[in-house]
Amino acid sequence: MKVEQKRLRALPTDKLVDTLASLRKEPPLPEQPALGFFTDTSICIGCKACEVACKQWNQLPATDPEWSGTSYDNTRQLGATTWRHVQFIEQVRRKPLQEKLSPHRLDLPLLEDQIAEARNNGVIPETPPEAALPFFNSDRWLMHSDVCKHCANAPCHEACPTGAIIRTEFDTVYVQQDICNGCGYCAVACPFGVIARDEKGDHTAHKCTLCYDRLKDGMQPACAKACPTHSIVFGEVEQLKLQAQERLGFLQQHGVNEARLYGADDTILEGGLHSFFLLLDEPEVYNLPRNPARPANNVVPASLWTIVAALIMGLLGIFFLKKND
Amino acid sequence: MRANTLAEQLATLITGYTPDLEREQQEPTYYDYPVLKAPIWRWEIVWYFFLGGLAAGCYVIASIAALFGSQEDRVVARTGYYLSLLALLPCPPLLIKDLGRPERFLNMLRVFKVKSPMSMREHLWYLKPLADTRFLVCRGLSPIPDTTCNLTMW
Repeated sequence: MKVEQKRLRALPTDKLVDTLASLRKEPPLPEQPALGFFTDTSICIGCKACEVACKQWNQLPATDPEWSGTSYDNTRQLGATTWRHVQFIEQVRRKPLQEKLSPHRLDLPLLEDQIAEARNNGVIPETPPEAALPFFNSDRWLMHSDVCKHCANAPCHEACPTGAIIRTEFDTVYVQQDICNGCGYCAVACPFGVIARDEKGDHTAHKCTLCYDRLKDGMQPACAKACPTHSIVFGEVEQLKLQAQERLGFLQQHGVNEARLYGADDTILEGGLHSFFLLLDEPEVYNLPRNPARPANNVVPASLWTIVAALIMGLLGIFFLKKND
Repeated sequence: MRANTLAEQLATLITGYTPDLEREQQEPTYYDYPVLKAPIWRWEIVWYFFLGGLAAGCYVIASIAALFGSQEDRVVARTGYYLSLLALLPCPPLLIKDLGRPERFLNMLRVFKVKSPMSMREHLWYLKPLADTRFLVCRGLSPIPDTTCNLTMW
């Protein structure tokens, strides 16, 4: 009896303390070096292991199978339940091949003869040694594993009105599912079309978390772990950028002049991307915008224009009403 | 010669982009799949924009009429204020209904972000009902709203 009375008396204070404790701002977690991905499309083999690993680890439901009719890519785009997405780009008989390649390439074996032989005889000839197959053919098949870019100035983060989208201690962009109320502003703001609202599930916004739960335990993200060719490299952004430059230098030295980095410099979105790519063609070929804009830059001008419009309407109103005097 | 409709010319004027079919067809794309996600706003937002605009316009006109108008413009002011309030009433429910998780709409109100248009819009909702209630209170106190009363509304 005495114990029960004590508990009764203690309960309200406990609750009060709990409520106050939840209102107190937690100290920020210790800063860590920024982590990200370097996705090297020149060695991607399109196995989709990253897609599968991502779905498995994050327990994402499968999308309804739908035949795209364009390539092996039936997913078509990143979405609320697709956080890694492999694209397949088939380029047949690219035309101005000579212009695109550096003079260095001239001493490398051309495969035009072998391709003609294969076409005519139906036999695949032996590849000469030293031939770097996918880069110098007139026909080639590009694969690209797309993912959230974890932008330094993330438009989704800027647009989020609830504060559900935050920057973690690893400087990644993360959606807190218990805060998000599904307004959809992030989905429109993202210049890469990454984040989306889950219309079939919990109606909140979802995207790649860079496997925040795995990072917390010192593990690497599931897609990077599963990648069999190390096309997806995970690590500290600063080091990855150096690695990307090195790889680009190697490729260009060997005559692949079309190789380029996407998002590795700080120009894109006024701060660069924490998940960047080595591409073998124009960014548009991979459905990446060449020079995306920050939607947040439009907020102030648009607001000012609204005020100007209201002022003009008001002045016209004065004019109209004055006539009646 | 390509026939330019008025809508096309307007779009060019607003966006600064002239459509060129030939050039666009030669541009590299990824099977013409869209880069961006389409907005997920449905009829709620259409009506929200219409009614919100109506409310704002009525309010501006009514304020002008009250501040600068003559005696017979009082009716414009009064109608404008009432219409503004009426048009405004369905807006917050529409905005909340549009959310993926309407029960979490309060989450939006604890953050103030200049970079987020949605955030700014949510916070404007504090000011507008405030002005409207003050108008109603003034109306209740004096039979004809005078200029001083309207000045306090701003």
